[in-house]
Amino acid sequence: MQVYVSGGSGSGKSAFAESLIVQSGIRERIYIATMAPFGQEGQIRIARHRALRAGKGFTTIEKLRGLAEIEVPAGCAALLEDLTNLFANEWFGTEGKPGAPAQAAAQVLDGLCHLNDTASLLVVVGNDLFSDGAEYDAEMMEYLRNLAALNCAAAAMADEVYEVVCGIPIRHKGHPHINKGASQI
Amino acid sequence: MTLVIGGAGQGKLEYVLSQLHVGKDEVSYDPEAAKAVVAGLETWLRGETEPMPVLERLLEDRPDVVILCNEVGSGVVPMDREERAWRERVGRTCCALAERASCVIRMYCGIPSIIKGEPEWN
Repeated sequence: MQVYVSGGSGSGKSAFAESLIVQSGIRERIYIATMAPFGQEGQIRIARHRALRAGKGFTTIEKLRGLAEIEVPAGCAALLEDLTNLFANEWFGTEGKPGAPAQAAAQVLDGLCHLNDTASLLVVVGNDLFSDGAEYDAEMMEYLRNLAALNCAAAAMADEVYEVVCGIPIRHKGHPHINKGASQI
Repeated sequence: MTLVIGGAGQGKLEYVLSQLHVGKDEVSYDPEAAKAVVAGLETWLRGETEPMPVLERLLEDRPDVVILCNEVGSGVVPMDREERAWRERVGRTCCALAERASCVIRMYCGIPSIIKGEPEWN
C-alpha cells in the first residue's frame, strides 16, 4: 500500500502524512529523512519536524540518496520525506554537480519500489512547487520539469493521493482513510 | 468563522460578497478593523510575525467573520529569507484558522469547493 501526499509550503502535509502512519495501527514505524542539514534554517526545519514526530514511535533513518540500499523491517509503516530533497540529492550527487535528470529520477523510483516491496504502508511526501508562474534559469526549469514528472510517477504508483490544503486533506485518488475531501457546492 | 482560500484572482471576494449579499464597504483588509469580511490576509501577514493574538480577538468580536487568504505556498522556495518566512507563516496561519473554522472553502477558477464543514450562510 502506497500513499502520495503533497501540498504547498506550510500546508500541514507532514502532520497529515504522520497521521496516516499512526492511524494505520502498524507499530513498527520508520521515518526516512532525506534532507541535508545545511545552515541554521535547515537545522530549525529539521528540529520542527522532529518535534512534530516526537512521541509517535518513529525510528529515523537518514539517507540523502540511494534508497534502494536501505533495509526497512518487513511489514512496517514507512514515511519518506521528501521527494523534492531526495531528487535534488540524487541529481546533484555528492559533488554538487548535476548529473542526468532521467537517471536521478530512475534512482528515486527504484528506491520507492524497493521500499514498497518490504513495507506494508509507504507514505511518500512531495511538494507543490509548480504554481508560482515564475521563470527560472535553464537548470532550475529542468529540475522543476523532472521533479513534476517524478511527482506524477509517484502518484501513479500510489494507491491513494492526497493534496493537503491548510491542514485539510483533499483526496485525488483512491479510497479514503477518512471521510473528508472536497465536495463541490 | 468561514475561511476562503485559493490562488490569486480565483474569485474569492466576488463569491463571498454574492453569498453574503454585502458590498465592498463590508470588506476590511485589516483584521483589527473587524468587518463582515476580512480579505487579503496574506498581505496583512507580511507585517505580522505573531498574527494569532490579533486573529483570536477578531474571532471573539466577529465569530461569523469570513476570512479570505491567497494560497502562496505552491511555488519554488524563495531565495530571500524574509519571503520564505512569510510564505511559511501564511501557510501555518491558514492551518490554524482552518482548525477553528466551521467551514473552509477553496476557490478554483471561480468555482467554490467546500473542504470542511458547511457554509454558515446556507
